Amino acid sequence: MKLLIIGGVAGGASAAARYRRLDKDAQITIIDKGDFISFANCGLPYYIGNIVDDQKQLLAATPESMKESYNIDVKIRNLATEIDVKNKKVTVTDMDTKDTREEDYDKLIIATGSSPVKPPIPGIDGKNIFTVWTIPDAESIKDHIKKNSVKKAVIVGGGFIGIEMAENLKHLGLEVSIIEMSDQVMAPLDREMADLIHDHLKDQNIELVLGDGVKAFENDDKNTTVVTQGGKRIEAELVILSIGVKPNSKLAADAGIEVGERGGIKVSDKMETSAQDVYAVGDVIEVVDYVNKTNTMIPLAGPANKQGRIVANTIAGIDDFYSGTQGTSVVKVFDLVACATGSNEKTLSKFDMIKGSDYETITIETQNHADYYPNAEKMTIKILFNLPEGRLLGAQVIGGQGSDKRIDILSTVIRYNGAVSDLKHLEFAYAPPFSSSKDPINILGYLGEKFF
Amino acid sequence: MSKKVLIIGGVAGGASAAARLRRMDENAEIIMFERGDYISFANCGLPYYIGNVIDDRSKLLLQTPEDMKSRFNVDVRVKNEVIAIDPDSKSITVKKLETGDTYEETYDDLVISTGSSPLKPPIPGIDSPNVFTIWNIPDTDAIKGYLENNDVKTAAVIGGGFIGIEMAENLHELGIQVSLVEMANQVMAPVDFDMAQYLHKHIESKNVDLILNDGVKEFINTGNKTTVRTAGGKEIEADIVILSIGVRPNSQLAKDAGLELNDRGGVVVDDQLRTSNPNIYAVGDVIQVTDYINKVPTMVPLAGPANKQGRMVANNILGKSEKYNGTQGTSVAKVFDLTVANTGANEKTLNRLGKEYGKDYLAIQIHPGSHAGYYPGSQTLNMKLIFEIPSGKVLGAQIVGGEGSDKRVDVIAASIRFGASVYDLKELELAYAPPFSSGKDPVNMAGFTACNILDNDMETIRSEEIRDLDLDNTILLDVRTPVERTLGYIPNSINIPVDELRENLDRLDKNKTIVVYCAVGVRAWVAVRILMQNGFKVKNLTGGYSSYGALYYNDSEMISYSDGDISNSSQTPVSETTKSAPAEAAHPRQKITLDCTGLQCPGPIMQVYNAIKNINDGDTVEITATDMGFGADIGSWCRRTNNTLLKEEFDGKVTKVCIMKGMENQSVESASEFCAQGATAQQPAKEYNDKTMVVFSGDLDKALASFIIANGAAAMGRKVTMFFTFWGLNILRKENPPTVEKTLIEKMFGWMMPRGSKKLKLSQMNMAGMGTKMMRMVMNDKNVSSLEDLIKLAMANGVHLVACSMSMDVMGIKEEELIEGVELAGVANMLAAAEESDTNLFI
Repeated sequence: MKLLIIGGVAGGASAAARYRRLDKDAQITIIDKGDFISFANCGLPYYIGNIVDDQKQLLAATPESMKESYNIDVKIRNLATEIDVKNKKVTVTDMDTKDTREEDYDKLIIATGSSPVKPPIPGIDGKNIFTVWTIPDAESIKDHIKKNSVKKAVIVGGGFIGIEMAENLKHLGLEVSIIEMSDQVMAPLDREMADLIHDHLKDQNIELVLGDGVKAFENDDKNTTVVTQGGKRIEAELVILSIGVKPNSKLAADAGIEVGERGGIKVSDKMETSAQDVYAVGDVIEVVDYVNKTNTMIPLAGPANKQGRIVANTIAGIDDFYSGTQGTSVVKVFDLVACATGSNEKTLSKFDMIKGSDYETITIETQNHADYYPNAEKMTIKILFNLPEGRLLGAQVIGGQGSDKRIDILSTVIRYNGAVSDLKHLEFAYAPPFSSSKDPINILGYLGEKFF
Repeated sequence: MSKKVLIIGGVAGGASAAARLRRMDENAEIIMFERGDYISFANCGLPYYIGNVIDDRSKLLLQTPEDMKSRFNVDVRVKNEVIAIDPDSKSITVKKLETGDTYEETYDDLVISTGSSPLKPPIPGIDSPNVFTIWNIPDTDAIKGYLENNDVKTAAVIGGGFIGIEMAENLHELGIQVSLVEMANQVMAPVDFDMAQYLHKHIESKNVDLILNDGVKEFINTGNKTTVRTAGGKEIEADIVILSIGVRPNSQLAKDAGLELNDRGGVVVDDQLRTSNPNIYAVGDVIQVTDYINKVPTMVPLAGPANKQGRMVANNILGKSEKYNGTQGTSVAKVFDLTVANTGANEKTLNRLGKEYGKDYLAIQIHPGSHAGYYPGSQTLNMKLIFEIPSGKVLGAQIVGGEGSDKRVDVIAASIRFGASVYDLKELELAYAPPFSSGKDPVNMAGFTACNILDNDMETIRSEEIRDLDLDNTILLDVRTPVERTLGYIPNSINIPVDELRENLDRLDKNKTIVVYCAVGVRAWVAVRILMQNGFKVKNLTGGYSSYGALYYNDSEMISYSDGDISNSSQTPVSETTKSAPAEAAHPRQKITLDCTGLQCPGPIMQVYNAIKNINDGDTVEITATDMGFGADIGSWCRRTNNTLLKEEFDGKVTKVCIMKGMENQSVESASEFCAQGATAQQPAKEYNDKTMVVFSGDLDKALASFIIANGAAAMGRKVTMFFTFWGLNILRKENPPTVEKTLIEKMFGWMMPRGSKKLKLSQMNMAGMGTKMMRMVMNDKNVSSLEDLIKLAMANGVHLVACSMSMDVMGIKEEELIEGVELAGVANMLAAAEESDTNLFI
């Protein structure tokens, strides 16, 4: 049995390690075009901000440790250029020697991930313009900041990475502007919740330009001027592009493997692609939206890791399946925490659901724990549920400590297809430093009664 | 026509019921009777008010009778005690406590929310003036008042439940020496013994005297002090005693009214919270509830359920017919720097109900980090998950750990409400970003681990079973690295690191069962899979050595220690006790800083080991770590490996430790004693061999030497007494002393002698102060602590600084002139201390 895995970061590495535990004899090979496998991509902004100070800390595994602990062969700087699904072969180019060879497989896992979107904007290849996706990316940014004593940065795109980069660059003492094309940062949130983030970013002296896209980058010797559609010109020594990502699915599509309209590889709930003995996991695949049961793309580390385990089980003949992604996420925004799970109102309206007849929302402003205990922090929670059943569809939390706890609880309820009426019965751990005797989640359940 | 509802008791459940009733029915007549002075107060906050964490008493009063009246139009009658219920005439008799008058009120519906009261068993002396319970505002005022008006230095807390633990913590925060006496073999009954051991170790590390398995026989009060005499014969003298042994329901009133009670005195209610009388409801601590997991009757006195029941009973009175489905007993408490949280059934309960481990249920332990290890501040969560077999249904969870413990218990608590199995736990999609969680959240990890067992991927064994292991037919296999074994290993275990296992399979006997362990279970899991697939019969020790070491932390027979290959080649002991060595080292001193926060497996100790290996004797390593076990273990590790622990600090999240390689500043006696310990190295040093020092000289170098020795000995856990006499007293003088009255001669002495540690001179080569300045400069450059730092460190390390009262007299030095924290005593005191010492130095 020869298992070949293309891509060794989250899903690929999880699949390899899990499969080795199930089959001691299999020949397992990972090929990866990058310099590193199994690295903590979510930690990159913090590495740039010196919160994580050692690059080694970001490496969950190395080719050597994969060999030692798991007897897995890892070939980095090896690019898969072609898959021959009929003859079960992958063409691989060694990026250092430029040698090309063929690797055959019994089973193939595609875990090629995604790459940052770089639209054809004039000047986008300027030397001050960076994306944040790999360890070398992070190193280049760190280097650039140091060598040029960068004082001013523009971040294009206000998603997770954009926000985290804003915080970390600010932490390094840079002046930071964020340009976001839509009217809000953090797409998983609804607009009124995102406004809480907007206010907080402004409090931190981040210049926030919303509803405006980049028209051009004008690069001179030292600086880049970002010119927006709206006519704004912002000069900076560093530009971070964090507009979004696209799946690295060309390899699969070229091999005739079925790909969805947004470019994600189509897989079954057992992670099987349309080709025999070829599987795919992670950012490169299309997943089922757990709430709406439609196809979607959700590039997150948690689901990728879980899919890695599931694909190993599938290949080993253990019954397992992936039931979809909710898109539970959290991001630290300076002193605030912003979290979301399930559907937001924007998504529901895309499915032509109408507030008041198809779904309802409740928003509360509350405290994370008993307010008589010191350091209680404000927290805003919004939940969405369908009518007339009251099934929970989504939730958003913005606040201080304990926000992530509440989103995790609400995510859990959504997984069990729970309803608003279930929330009041949940029994949480209460002591003054942690919660209130009626936890905010219970209160939401009480407030929900009036709709039924 | 609207109803007339009477509510007896105005704290959690009663107050909730009243507020909800009013919101639902504007016209109902609602009267609330409370025998105490206060309604709706924050009973869970009381210990924190005593500890000054909550500084404002008014914050504890969530709602006053006036608030209830103005906002909810509820007639609140405080100091009105209901003394009888007549269900036949639907009336109650009420006594006004201030006047003694009684009157009657009729009702359509009655809610009994009388709560519970602290148990006060008939132990002799229990009514002594400094023995307190803590249950309500007057109790709290009494304790607070007592602490303010008396010089309370010691406290005995009886009972190690929520309140006992919280009181121990808060009294400790006030600087009081606390003893905690608990009759059972563990504190915090909602968790099992194996989890309580983490707490015991932590509580002891805070210098709380923890006495388990021992009950109180009598309290002997002698004025301001009470001696607690235990059944086991211990005597604890305390300035204040807190009783927190448990509570009983206040159900006498219900009983007298003929309502049905259970054998523990709880009022029996149906699922709509109705008592045996259809117009009488009961909520809160006074009722019997259904155990949500086991569906058996139980008593769970918690604020959360009481509040929920209060709201529900109001709905039911108004005809909404809501059902209370039972209580899981989800709870959490802060225990000093740790959090303990639990939900659902524990093993003790399951066993009591006849359920057997291995047959009806399984339990696993894991030790994930609270968030991504590479992001600063990740803390260990020690998690236990209990699940039914073969279904995998989640029965309960317990966590002792740092930040995020409450989050994981709440997620599992919610899962239990939905009847989830361990397969569901692994699928939960929880929020991940490095500051909050990991790609696989600890709850997912618990699910994965449980599924691995259920899917027959592996068999597990628990630490408690190791004691009775049949060693003839079992191999204990430690797959950690050799260095990790210096922190302890299971006796009789052999060591093959996991990465070398594939090549060493022939060393293992296939006829024996192999019990595999690593630090937390991850590497063991890899090893288990290798061994299983090679045809070995294998069991994985759940939770690895972390679980094992915690369970047996106070049982030296169950833990062996290895020296690793760390040995100090060069010892340069000081041959004369008066010789000062530290500043004379031949090579420049190096200081290495290690950031081990978030590191778990194999843990910071590997980093420390590698750093120590590459430096010279006398160099120092400063380590920051968030692994809770690290701080607890590093002291004994240093002792076993012949290195010196210079400093250990904990700020609530991060442990900061400073280690000096080798022990060259120790006296001959202590150095050789160290070596002897290193050689036997089988047990952590437990015998304390006291050190006494008479510091006669006021020379800078001699003062330095004396404090270095004192700190070294203190860091080894020795009790050190430094007795300052004659010129030595100058070390202890304040730089800017207050004005004190002195005779002329005394003033002259005072003027001529150096005032404080900064004014001391060298015994040799002083050269009109040049030598002293140079010495201080060199010390600063080489990162040797200054004398002032050493004094501070010594005091922080618990070194007793004693000034000789006789020589103070002679030299005209007054108590006020000495730095804070110095004790005064005579020669007899010094001699007494010397009697208990094995080393007595004269400097």
